[in-house]
Amino acid sequence: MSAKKRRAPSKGKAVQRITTGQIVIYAILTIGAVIMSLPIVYMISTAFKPATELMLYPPRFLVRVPTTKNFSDLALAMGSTDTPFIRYMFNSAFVSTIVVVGTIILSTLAAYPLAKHNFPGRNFIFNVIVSALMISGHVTMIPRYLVIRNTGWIDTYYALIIPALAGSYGLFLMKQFIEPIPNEMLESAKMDGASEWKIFTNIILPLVKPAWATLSIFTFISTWNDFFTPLIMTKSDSMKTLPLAMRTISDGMTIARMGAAAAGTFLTTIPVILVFIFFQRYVVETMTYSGMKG
Amino acid sequence: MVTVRLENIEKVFEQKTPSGEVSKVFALKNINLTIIDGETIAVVGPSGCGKSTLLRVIAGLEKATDGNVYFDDKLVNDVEPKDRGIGIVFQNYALYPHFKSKGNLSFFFKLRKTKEEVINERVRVTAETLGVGFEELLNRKPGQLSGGQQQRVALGRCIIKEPTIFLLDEPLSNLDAKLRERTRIELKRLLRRFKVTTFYVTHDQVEAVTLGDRIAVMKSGQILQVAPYREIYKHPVNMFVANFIGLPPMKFLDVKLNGQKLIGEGFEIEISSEVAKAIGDENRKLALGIRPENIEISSNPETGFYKAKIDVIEPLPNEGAKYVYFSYAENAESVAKAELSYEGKVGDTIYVQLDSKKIYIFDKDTEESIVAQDRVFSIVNA
Amino acid sequence: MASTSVTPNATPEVQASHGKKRSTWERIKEYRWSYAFITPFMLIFTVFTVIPVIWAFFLSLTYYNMIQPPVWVGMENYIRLFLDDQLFYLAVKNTFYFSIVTGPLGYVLSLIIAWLINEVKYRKLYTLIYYIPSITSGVAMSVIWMYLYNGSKYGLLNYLLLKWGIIEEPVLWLKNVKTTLPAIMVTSIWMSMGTSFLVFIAALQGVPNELYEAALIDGATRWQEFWHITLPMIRPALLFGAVMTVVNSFQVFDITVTMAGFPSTLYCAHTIVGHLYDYAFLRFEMGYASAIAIVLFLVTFITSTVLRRLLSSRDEM
Repeated sequence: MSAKKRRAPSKGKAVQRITTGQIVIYAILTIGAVIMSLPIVYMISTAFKPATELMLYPPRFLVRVPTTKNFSDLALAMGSTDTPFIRYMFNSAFVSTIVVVGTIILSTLAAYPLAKHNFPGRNFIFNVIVSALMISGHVTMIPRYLVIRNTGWIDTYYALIIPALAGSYGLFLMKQFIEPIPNEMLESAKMDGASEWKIFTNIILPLVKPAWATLSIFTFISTWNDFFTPLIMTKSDSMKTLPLAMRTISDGMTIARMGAAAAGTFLTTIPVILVFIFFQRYVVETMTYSGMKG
Repeated sequence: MVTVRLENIEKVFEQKTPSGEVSKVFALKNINLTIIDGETIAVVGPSGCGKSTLLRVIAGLEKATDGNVYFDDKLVNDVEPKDRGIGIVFQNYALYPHFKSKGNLSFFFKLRKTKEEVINERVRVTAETLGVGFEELLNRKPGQLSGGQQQRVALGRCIIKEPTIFLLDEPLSNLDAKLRERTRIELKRLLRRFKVTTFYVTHDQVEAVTLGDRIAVMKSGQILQVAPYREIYKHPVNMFVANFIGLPPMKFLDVKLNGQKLIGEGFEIEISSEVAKAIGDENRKLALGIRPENIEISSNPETGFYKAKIDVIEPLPNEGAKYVYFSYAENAESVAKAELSYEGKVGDTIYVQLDSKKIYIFDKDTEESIVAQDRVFSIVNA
Repeated sequence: MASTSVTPNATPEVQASHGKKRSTWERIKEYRWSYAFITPFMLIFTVFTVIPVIWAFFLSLTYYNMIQPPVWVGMENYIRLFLDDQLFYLAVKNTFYFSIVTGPLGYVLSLIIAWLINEVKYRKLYTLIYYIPSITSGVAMSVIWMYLYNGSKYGLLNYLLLKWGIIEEPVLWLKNVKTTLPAIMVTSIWMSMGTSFLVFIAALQGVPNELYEAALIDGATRWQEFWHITLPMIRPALLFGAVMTVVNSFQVFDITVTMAGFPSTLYCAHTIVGHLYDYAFLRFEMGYASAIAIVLFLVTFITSTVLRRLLSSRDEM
């Protein structure tokens, strides 16, 4: 039964061989983990360093007397602009949230017939969408920019949101997830008298919930971190998102501004990390389940 | 209640060969079948024979390429599945995993915006029908139920809407042997009680025998024979049916007609002039079949007995019998039924006689029956 | 069974309506819901992906400065790109250099780490720690790396190397032509290792335990087990990861532009996407920039196709 299968992801290895090999593995992994997390720790530590510690020689890795002054500096003003940093945070959060919600709705809607209905043109449409997986965003960026310019959406939220809603990856993931739902279940619903819309809302939607988590997190991360799209689609300062703001900060950086910049980095990266930690459980499960086949 | 009538049903899939040609594959071919009001037809056949496709055509889940489906005298080809008054149980049950059992039962009514009290009453009655312990399953989700419990819920979902036709697609095959036996009996009781027209797909002939008033044997998209079990067992229309129905499966011996005798490798058998006449041509290639219970074994040579060697002995205490697989010669093997107390051993030499009144004779080329026990199928026109 | 096809109740009309084959139009009508469901997605997908791809091909054959309408110039953009544009060669060289180092290195590292993690307890914690860098904003984390690479003696890296006596005076890591790209590569590997890492972890957990037990009984060593069981079982994931890695590494832009500036010292960190950005959105030579985009597309496409051929024997992905 699919429900059972989905709830119990196949356990990896349970064969436990406690050997010196095992200890070596732990050692390698732990050393690697320390190295991997150094820049993050350094970032957090720097974000809370007072000016005196930033200027210190020899430089110190960890903060001694933490302060939140860097954050208040950041809130007041940043570089040549008078747009408060909170505005960039709002832009990023707003755009990312809308894109996540929209992507889930549109790709689940489209994935259902692609996975379960044998309508004329299905294979053609699906192949086109899958091919797009391999085309980088930079190839389509110029005509995309021209389309947006024609609609007059340059420097608006529309430009950042609408094109991002129809991503191949989301559709592909949703389709992989809907496909294993037994046809008999949909047929039972049909026999019970459910319309296609009812089947979608009552059966498909609840069953693909675990995939939402995965799709949400990946969509959120990629939109939140996207640098190229806002770079070309926005003009005014008040439309910029966090990565663009960070780029402005990094230009002509002085030691004095280091603290504020680290605080900015902190605010840019921590939300994403928290979102990921929160959803991590679902992500690996979904990926195991959808199995990267297709 | 309804009589279901299938008329010249065909289902064709088009398949592209690697060379680009379109070839037609018949999933169902020229199906004519009437399921009489209140009757249970059990459809058996090897996997891929089209039995499930036929069920889906009756349900309306699949459209036939050609032919008509009637419920009583009403043509239902274009009637939506939901409007056909059908209850269905799938092999994998297809329960909605995110609804509790109660939600699974009541989904049909929810879609029709039935009042809560009415639904509750229906659920209560259904639970009563399905017997002890069903009540307790209602507040659990399918993931928390055992296979047998899921099966009962699936059955509940089928009967709660009071269908006029039951379609059951291998509903027991996902259960373990013990449970399957018990559920089979329970199902029989239910079918008796409801007297609903039932189309029961299975690959297990024991199920077919227990539940089916008549049995339909299918192969490669065609129905070969429809009849009560006794009739099919006694008078199969061809080698496939003869082999498929009956346990252990019927073995075939190559024989030739010679006057009033059939001659095989290492044995002979006298036949009546009527049978000989039915065979007619002495050059015809024939296959001789016989049920295990119609073979007599002796450890001493007697008249009409021919020498053979025991290959395998399979004791079946449940049936109170031993099946003795023996061979007259290299390619002449068959199987006989013996008492459980039979003491022969593998490798022993035995003497075997076939009951000439209970033999089956088939044309080896067409595989059609010529003679089945007391019935003569076709008489060759001289 | 005899096929007595007497049809007392069916009139000829009824039979005709269930004739041999339903027309395509009837099937389209039958599936109208399916089309309704995919329409919103397809609308946006067509306008912002399908049409732009076609348009990009067209534009690459024109001169277009966004003020005057496009002028057809045939292959001229490509000719200019390949014969006349020294900077493009530099961008291609840098991008390839970057990809060839970071791609395979990041890929192998993430496979090894994923495999090791699958061998121990506390998988979730390790997964999290190794994956976090990949979900951070490239631009934002570049800022932190710039502190580490700071060219004065205040930079942490310079300080440590000076203290240990490896260098004698501070190195301008992100200004020096020799060190800029390698420094960025380190950051990139740190940041992109996770791209395929998560896919590997998921795939490894999907390998049925019975297989390992069977191998254990057959007396396989760890290495044999990895080579003969683990790798073949996760091949689809390996393939997916490889393609993702290549596609991503060819796109490098945001961390180079943040860390090395734009333009970088003597264009030492100039990349294909940087070149594209320069022509499209600073000089507004859309035709020429489109030609660069098409070349980038072809390079990515060919490389990933070759990789797929190499890694898959059948029709995976």
